[in-house]
Amino acid sequence: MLSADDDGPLNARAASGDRAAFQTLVLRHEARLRAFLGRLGGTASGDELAQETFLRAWLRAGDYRGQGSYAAWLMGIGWRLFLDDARRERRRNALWDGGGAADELAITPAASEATLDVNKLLGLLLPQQRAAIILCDGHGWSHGEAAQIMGVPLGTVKSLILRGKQRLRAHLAEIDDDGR
Amino acid sequence: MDDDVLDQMLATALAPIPRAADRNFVLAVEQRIAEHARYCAERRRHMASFLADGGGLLALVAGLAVLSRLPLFAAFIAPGWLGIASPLTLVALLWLAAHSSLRISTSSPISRNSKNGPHAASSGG
Repeated sequence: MLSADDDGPLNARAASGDRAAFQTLVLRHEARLRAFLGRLGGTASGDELAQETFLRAWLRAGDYRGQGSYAAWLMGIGWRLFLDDARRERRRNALWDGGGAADELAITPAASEATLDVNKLLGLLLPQQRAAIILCDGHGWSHGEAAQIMGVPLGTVKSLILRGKQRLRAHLAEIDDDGR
Repeated sequence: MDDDVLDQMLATALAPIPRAADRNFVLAVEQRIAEHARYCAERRRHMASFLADGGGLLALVAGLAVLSRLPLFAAFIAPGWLGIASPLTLVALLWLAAHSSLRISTSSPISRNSKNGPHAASSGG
């Protein structure tokens, strides 16, 4: 069984055109990347973005030179693609709805009720807050790694998580009050 | 809600679900890479063709410019660069029309190639 330490050499082989090495990298990282992008933008769009992410990773394999983990580099590509996609979506909505597009991105609900609730909750947050919380609280990345993935300073990640959780707490408290 | 409770709830709900690697997804990525390679090859081919067309047109322009200076053809073409614009345009349009129809009739679409792509074999076994 190969470990994550082998990602660098595997990527080096991929950079020289070794498809088998790249397939190993895809097999190793697809679950986490798809889970992240699926949470951000919905399962279908998440899979589409994940494929695009791996295509970029294949084309730019030479750009990764061991700065941080390969997984973080990959997640960073996925995050930037998600942002580009979200911007395009907003522009499209603005065009069709005459500028009345919602700031928050629609999330395709997943099958289970528990997931549905969490997706609804996450839908209340800005995409940046959502990403920071998914990465750190859900996937276990450190704040520093999340900052590297999202391409923002460490303090920004901490602030995004803090404000995101404040928003969630406030919403849950509202629900709690309405229930009484 | 208590901070710890919220953290615990998020950690449980947002953690990636452990599962075996999805080989169909790997195949889809492979297919995407192959499609991209085909697209790049097509684009290079079209760019080369475009440059060849441009070169041909330039040669025609140069030829007409030379011809327009000969006394034999001067009577057909009004003096100056503006005067040769209309015959030049006609020749350029004819050239492009002929070349485009030739390209359309000989080119094969990507979708036809993809059936025989590298994944047809790999997905089979």
